[in-house]
Order: sequence, then structure tokens, then C-alpha cells
Amino acid sequence: MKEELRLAFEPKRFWWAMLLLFLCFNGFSIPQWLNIFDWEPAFRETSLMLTIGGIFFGGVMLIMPLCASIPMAPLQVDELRTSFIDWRIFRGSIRRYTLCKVTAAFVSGAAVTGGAFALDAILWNILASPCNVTPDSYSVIPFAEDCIYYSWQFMPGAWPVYVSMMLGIAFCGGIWAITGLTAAVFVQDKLLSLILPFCVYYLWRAGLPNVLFGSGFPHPADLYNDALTWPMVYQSVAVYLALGLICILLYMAGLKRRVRSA
Amino acid sequence: MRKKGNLLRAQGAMILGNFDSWIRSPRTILMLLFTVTASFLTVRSYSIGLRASGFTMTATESLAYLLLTGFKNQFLASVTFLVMVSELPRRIPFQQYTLIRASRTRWISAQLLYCFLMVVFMIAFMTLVFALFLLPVSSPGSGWSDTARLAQGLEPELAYVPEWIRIHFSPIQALIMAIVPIFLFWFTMVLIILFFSLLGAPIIGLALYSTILFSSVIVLFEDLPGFFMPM
Repeated sequence: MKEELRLAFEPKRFWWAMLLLFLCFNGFSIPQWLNIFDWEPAFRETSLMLTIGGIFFGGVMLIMPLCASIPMAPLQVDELRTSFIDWRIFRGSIRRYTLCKVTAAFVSGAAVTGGAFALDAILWNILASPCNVTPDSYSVIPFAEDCIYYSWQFMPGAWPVYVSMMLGIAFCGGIWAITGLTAAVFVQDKLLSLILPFCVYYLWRAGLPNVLFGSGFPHPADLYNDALTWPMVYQSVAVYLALGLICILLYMAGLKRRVRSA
Repeated sequence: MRKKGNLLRAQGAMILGNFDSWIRSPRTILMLLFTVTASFLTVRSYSIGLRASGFTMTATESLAYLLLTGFKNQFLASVTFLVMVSELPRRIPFQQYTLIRASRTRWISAQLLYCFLMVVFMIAFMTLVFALFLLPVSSPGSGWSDTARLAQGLEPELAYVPEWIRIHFSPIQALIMAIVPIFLFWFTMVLIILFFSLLGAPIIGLALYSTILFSSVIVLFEDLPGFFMPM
């Protein structure tokens, strides 16, 4: 497990993935910041607005599954192509191998996505004015009143919003990394193993689950989006856990098929 | 001296060999499947919009409208195609064989024609898929439904197709016109990927186009000081 985590946090892939996602967050915030730089301080956007604006703009949600898969999915493809996986499974077991890989994928995906968000939050809390708003202030973010972030933004520094979003992003990132890992076992192609989670995300976002299972299916970015309510938290976590479980079962099935033909 | 017919046949064999290998590759098959599913969802959402507003559109004008908007999502269609053409020229044993047997000029011209064929295939495939999904939600007739609705007092901003296009072109002409920029963008993309691959740096072409495509959904260009979006 320790070795697996060391590989998952291999500096080149890990930092590149985090940097890519960090740039995605700032694709919205930097142009906004440049635009409002010479405004009166009272009318400038707060650190909270600039930190989470990139998420609501949409690009981050789309790129996140791809970035989360970067640390582990190509590594899995390498192990399959070099047949190193066969030796590892023969010396251990499929269950043990799956546990190591899935844990490393979840932790690395969560660290990439959650880490990029944390870096973004730190940057904008240094550059922009901190979020200390009152309900009648100009800088209030117009969340819906039943949204869990609405009251949290009035707390000093709006820290619960940051923590909640970071946890949501990290959890989703971890599950997308497992999706990438599963894709890697079946396609054995580095590019496809990164793109397939992005495709799954897109089809989910475009409403495929609503076609298959009926309406009322949560949006894949609900856990860190601007209309989050408590019932949506439970629904989203349950759907993501189901996705993770399906991916793990498929991953084990893929490994068993590989062992049979090895 | 070899006969001209034999040379053309050899050229054709090189193009078809590459195309056959491309169409059977997992990247192409999976991305085509993804395209079909995404197209279904796009047409579904379009038809829900039509139904909600109580409008009807003919299949040709719906297709023209969807193509004028870059298959409703130019970013996604281009990323899908980028993944499909990411390996250029294809690294297959057949390539080594043709490189030995044919002259460099002939090999390059075969690669260019193969690129052309891929772009034409993808546009034809997507147009066909959209047309098939549009059939059940389209109404019979010809001409622009928007023009008829405007004559009945519809507000101009609710029209699907811009006025200039409706005045100057028929739906079929607009459909053909919409294909041209998509073709030019994709063909340039494929040629640039091929160019950098032949220079020995395939990653540059891919990175360049990934940056161009992804920056459109990541960077808020409109807010950059001094930046004006072309109209």
C-alpha cells in the first residue's frame, strides 16, 4: 500500500494534474480580478467569489474527472502493458491488489482536486479582500435561501463554505480517479483511460441517467455547486458511492479476466 | 515504368489501409459510441425545448440549426474528434511496409488524403446520426418555419436561425454552409497534428489543440481587459 501511494504521488504526474486544475479554477478568477482591479474596494469581488467562481463558470466541473485520473490511470495501463500486474496478483490476490489500487486512486484523485481547490482558496484569500459580509452587503453571493452555503457565507471568512466545497470536490475527484482506473483495465490506453471519466461525466451531466432511470437524478457537480441543499448532499453522496462500487466491481471483473488469460 | 492506374491503386490501398486501421481502433469505436449517445441527448434536449415553446421545425432546418451551432456543442464534437485522430500517422506495421514500398511524396499525399477522408467521414457520420435522431421530432414541410412564425407575430429574438441566413439561403444551402467552417477547423487540426508528428513531436499538435479547445470552456475571455469577442 505504501509503495502504491508513493507511485500515485509521483511528482511529475501529480503536480501536473494539480497545476492543470488550478489553472482551470483561475481561468475565470484571473480575468475577473483584472477586470475589477481598479474598482472601489467595497465593490470588488471577495475572495470567496473569486475562489468558487471558476466552479460555477463550468470548465472546472468538466475537466475535474480528467485531472483526477491523471495520477493513477496511466500507471495502471503501464502495469498492464508490461505484464507487471500478473506478477503482483500471483504474489498476492485480486482482492488485495484491488484494495491497494482503489485506495491509492481515491487518495490521489482526492488530493489532486481538493489540493487544487485549497491552493486556489489560499491564493485568492491573499490577493482579494476576505469574505466578511453581512446580509445587506453588496458582496453577498445570491445563493438560494435553502442552499446550505447561504448562511455559511456570513460566518467569519466564510470558512465552512471553503471546507464543505473542498470535501465535496475531493470526494468526487476520488471517485472519478477510480472510474479512470477501471477504464484503464478495460481499454489499456492511456489517453482513453483519462478521457473516459470525462465522457461518463458529460453523459451524466447531459441527462443520460434521467433517460435511463427517470427524472430526479442529481447533477454530477451537485456536491460543490451553488444550489446545494441537505437532501441533495445525501442523494449525491449515495449516487457517487454507487458509481464507485460499480467501478470497483468492474475493476475486479477486469482483473479476473486478465488473470484467466495470463 | 509503372502504369498510372497501378500507382493510383497503390495510393488507394495506402489510404484505405490507414482508414481501415483507424476505424477499427478502440479509440475510434469508443468515441463514435460516445458521439452517438451525446448526439441523442443533444437532440432530446433540443426537442424538449421545441415542445416547451410549442414550435415545430422541419428536419432540414433543425439539422441546419444544429450544424450552424457546431453540432450544438463545437467543443465536445472537436474534443471527441481530437481523441480519435490523436495518433497520426498511425503506428501500425502496414505503415512501415508502405514507407519502404512507396516514395516519400506518394506516402505523404496518401496521408493527406487519409486525413481528408477522416474529416469527411466524421462530419458525415455526425450529420447522419443527428438526422436520424431528428426524424421523429421533425414536422413535414420545407422552408424556414421561423419566417412563418415571425409573420404570425413571433418576437424576432425567439427565432432559432439568424435572419441573415434565413433571407439569403434555403435550409439545404444553410446546412452545406454550416459544414464548411467545421470541415476547415477539423481539417486544419488534423493537418497540424500530422505536421508535428512528422517533425517527431506529436505531443505539440495535441497539446496545442487541447489548449485551444479547453480554453474555450475554462477561460473567461470576455472579462480580459482589452479583449473583444469577434462577432
